[in-house]
Amino acid sequence: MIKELSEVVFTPFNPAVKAWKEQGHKVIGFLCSYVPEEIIYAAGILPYRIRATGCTKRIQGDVWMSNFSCSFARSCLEFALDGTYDFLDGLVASDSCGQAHRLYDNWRFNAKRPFMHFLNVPHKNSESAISWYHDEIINLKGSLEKFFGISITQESLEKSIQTYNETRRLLRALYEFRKNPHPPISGFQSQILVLAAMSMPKEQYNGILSGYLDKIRGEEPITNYRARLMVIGSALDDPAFIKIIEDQGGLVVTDALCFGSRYFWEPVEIKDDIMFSLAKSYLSRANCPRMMDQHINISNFIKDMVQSFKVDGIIYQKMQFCDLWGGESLFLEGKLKELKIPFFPLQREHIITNKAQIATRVEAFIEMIHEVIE
Amino acid sequence: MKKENDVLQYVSNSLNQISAYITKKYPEREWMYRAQRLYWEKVYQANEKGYPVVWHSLSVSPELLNAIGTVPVCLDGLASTLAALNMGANKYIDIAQKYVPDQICAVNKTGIGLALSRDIPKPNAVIYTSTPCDSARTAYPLIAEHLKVPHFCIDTPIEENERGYGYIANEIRGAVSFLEDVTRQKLNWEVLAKAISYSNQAYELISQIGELRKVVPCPLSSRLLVLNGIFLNMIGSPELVNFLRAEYNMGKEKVERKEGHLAEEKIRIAWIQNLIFFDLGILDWMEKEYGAIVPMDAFGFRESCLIEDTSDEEKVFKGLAKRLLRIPMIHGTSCPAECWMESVTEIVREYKCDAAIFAGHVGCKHTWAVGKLIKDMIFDKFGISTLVFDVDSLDPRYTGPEIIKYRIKNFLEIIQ
Repeated sequence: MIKELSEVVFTPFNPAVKAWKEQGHKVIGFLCSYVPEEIIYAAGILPYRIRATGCTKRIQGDVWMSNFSCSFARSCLEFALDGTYDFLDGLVASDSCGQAHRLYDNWRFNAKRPFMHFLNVPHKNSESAISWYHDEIINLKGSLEKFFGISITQESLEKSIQTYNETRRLLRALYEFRKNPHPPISGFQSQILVLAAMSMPKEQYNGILSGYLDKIRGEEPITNYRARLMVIGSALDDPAFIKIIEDQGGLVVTDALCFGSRYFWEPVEIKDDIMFSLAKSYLSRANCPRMMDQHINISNFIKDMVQSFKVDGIIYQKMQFCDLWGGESLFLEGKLKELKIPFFPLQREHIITNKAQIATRVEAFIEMIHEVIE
Repeated sequence: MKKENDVLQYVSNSLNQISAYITKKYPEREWMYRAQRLYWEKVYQANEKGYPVVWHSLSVSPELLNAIGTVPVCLDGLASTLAALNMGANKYIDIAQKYVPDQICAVNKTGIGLALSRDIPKPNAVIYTSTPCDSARTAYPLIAEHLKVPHFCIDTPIEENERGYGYIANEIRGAVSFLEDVTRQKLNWEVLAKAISYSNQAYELISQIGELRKVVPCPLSSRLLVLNGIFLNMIGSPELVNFLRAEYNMGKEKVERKEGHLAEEKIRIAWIQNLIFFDLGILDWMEKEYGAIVPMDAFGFRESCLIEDTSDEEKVFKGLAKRLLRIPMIHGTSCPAECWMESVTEIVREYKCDAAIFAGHVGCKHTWAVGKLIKDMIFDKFGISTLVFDVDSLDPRYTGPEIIKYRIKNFLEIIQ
């Protein structure tokens, strides 16, 4: 099953998306954590989280966005401009960070998809911010309906949210297994499962994951690890990075990544007004330091994860030119010191060109944790 | 705090010395540094006099902070001022880099370094907006949390319409309530109305100066564009009005006499990214060596934005919201790329520029990320070339003045 989903993760125009398109359905890419994909799915369109897993060379991305921009954004632009994302019928972006905003600018100037929509997302989780964001997503709904000539009904929205909540429930169940002293799944495999959720129809995915969870107890437990690790920080869409860590004897048991637990942790609670419920849910998530009032919630989430997953050490990976996670260290380091948990900041580029260097540094960190434990 | 480490005292003393020197050597230029000198003197003395001090980011209106009886300190303004003085900002950049990555904007690193260094008295509160960039978004709340002082964010969705102004006006109301709670002082509407009358005058003058700078030959120096940066720190003060009026009068007289700032103006440059704060002499050198003048930069104020009715609270807050979004740097670089394109188009066309320079501040990632779009647009629309190079506007250790001059020299020699 992991092998099957690996293809979904490492092949952008994957078999599941191909099958979806062959049935005459549309696919819309979205950027990034603050686009409520349930609305797109309710329109009968497949939302596809934009990422650049497997990007090994960057030419146009660097030319257009320069070397002084986030390399994740540049890699995504590379995929947009080299034709990898030509299967997308549209793109919904937001100003989740300055780099995502500029990725959208470059994309629409150079490789416009038929449907382009931008969400202006507030940076606070206040009453007026929720109201603003509510209007933004109502506008998104209207644009989808108008452009694709469809109607997004209350029922389809409810069904979409229920389907998404089921995905969230299943992924949390998967993470529960990772709390075990000898988990049946590695961090590398777990991230493949999470990334697949963003890249294929949810009903199909839920069926696969549900089946896997039925069988997971029979998987051989992982016993030969030296430290239970958690990965936090910038956008990390490449399981190969996790694999480098695990090849050194660490076992990544949890994370606070937008391409990890932060994608699915909280369900959308449906209240009277369904769009308002979505707005409230998305804006309250402690996903990214782009939210000016979520710093404490992000650190609390990390603390909870450390405790409930019995984490021995944290790897804090910061993408070069990601100011949001880069600056967060000033705040987070103090909070994590309170937990007395070993903490390893690691700056990185999206395309992994220094595998051996990362491996050596991670190995040294694991050694250090061992000394602390012993 | 040891006096020798008091940054505010250093800045205040330095500007007093510069002002005294200029007054003695070039008495006709005394006005150029008077406003800055008075601003930093007031800031320095605020602590000793026991006034509540509020640190703010560049897009927070100092008129409001003054009207609540606080002394506003624009932390971004302090960073760029420090960089321009002998001391430089390096010390504080280095302190910050112990905790945050070096690629964070040096303006914000200087702010972080100052907060960590304790070379500046702790403020009573910090107030900031969610603009213009990720670097500022990360720095301000973290500075406040580190100092354990109350702080407030004016959330600023980038939408230049009634909806956007209304949202931000509401956020500004929240900021006023926050400050009233922190300082236990009420917003004084008479003081605010007076400050807005000054800021209206300042906006009118800066737009008139902008018009004068369109004239060929340009009547005012490139360096004055940098000095006009005090607009953000000092808006709402009579000192800023006096500064701008003196500048306007000087320019007007020169235009009437059909005189340019340079004896022979050979080339007009559109400067489309940050100016270089650590060495204003580079602009003087371009003028002297190549007859190259910068009539306008893309982050320079040049349009009027008046608040007509100060008796109506809604209009005042919406007016302040509009001004916030129309700050050239916010409008140009935080909005969709088209806004910066329009701004640069206007500068190249109306200021009759022959070439452009994109001295890309390395911390300004959101501008670098559309730099090629801008450069290509300039060439496509006007057929003129843009010199692109990377600098750190505050830190000469990144790219020193000699290297910058060498790059500019090569460029100017080719296009001439």
